[in-house]
Amino acid sequence: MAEFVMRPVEPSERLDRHGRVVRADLYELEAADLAQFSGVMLGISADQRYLASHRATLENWVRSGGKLLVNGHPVVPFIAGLPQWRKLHFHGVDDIWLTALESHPVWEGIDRRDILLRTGVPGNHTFDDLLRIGVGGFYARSYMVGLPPEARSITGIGPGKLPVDVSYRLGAGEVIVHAGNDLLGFDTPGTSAAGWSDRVLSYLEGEAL
Amino acid sequence: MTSPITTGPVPGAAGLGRPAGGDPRARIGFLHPGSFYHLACLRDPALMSLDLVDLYAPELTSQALAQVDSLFVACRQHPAVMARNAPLVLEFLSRPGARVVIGGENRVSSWLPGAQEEPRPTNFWAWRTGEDPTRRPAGQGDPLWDYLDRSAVDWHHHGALTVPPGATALVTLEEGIEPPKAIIYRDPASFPAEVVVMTMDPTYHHGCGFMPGATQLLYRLLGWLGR
Repeated sequence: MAEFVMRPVEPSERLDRHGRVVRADLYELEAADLAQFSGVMLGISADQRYLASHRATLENWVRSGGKLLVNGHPVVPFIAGLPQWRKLHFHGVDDIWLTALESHPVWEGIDRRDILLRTGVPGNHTFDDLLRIGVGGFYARSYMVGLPPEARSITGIGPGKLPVDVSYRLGAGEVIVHAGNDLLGFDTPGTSAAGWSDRVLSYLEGEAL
Repeated sequence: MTSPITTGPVPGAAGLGRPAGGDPRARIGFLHPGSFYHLACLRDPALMSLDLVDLYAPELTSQALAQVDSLFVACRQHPAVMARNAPLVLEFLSRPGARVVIGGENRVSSWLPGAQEEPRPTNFWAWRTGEDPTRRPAGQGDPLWDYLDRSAVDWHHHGALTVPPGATALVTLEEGIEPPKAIIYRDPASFPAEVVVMTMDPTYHHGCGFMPGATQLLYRLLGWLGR
């Protein structure tokens, strides 16, 4: 597994999550030997102009069997089939409500209410508490259009259930797009999303979940 | 690709250009590293009306900076690219009368002479619970307040800045430290140019589309840069 982030990476933090993830500066992508990785994650801040200028590198790797997780809003089409971001107007939690749509192993068992709202107030909070004091939008606050014909729309937002999590086959590989904050940031103890990060990594490592 | 409902300019399209001479507006450079939220800012119709000059950080040159009258350094630059570009930004700050805004999360202590920033935890939920985030408006009468209002500077912050000599804090933190630290200040004294430094990250939140106060701050600071 590799994760590309928008900052230099110190040698001491190159191996993350018990040695499962090799973390690197996005600008190392062009020199990286992607063939050694089963999965690649792109952080939300990734320079999408740079990605577009190295499109063949990523795309050839996916086509040969790699699993790519794109975090953030896709504004530049930097790989074949990439859906495109659209702005959403919202005025309340109903407008950004998350609904499970088609199944995908990564999202199996995730109650979307557990990732909809968060707070920094200490302690455990019921969903009703969070409706009162929680803040939404971290998971998603916009949507995507232009999905490839065979794409799976996994999570929908708002009353229109517009896609915010999408996956599609590309050659022998797969592109997964999460149009929101980094997917590994939603692992929440005591909820259906407990241990989620491990599951995401296992899937990107090629394990059948 | 063209759209049947698009009748105005599209991002990146070559327009007629601005008239040579006679345009009273300052030409604003928008320095950014190509993250989706910066690209979304450049596609915002309200910002397109300002004719921002797109300065892509990995390719910044002094020739490109020579085209602009004022500069917005977007938040969350790539630290190594920012370090490479710092001499160019400092060269820009040596222009008498020019205006510069530096967005938050840019480790200013490491490259902007006189800037000292300390991290602070970010409270993103105070507006839901009524907690006091300890932000206090300051510097009443400072000309930057002609452009700002409370909603633009009261949403969240990522750090605390020491106010340099000759600078005016616009919002301070009430945390028992004297003199109080600021989350935004205007500094007309340290450089020939005027600079606004802050620990808020408005281009990130406006481009993400989820923080109304960030949109206010971005639009209003661009008003100041474009005067």
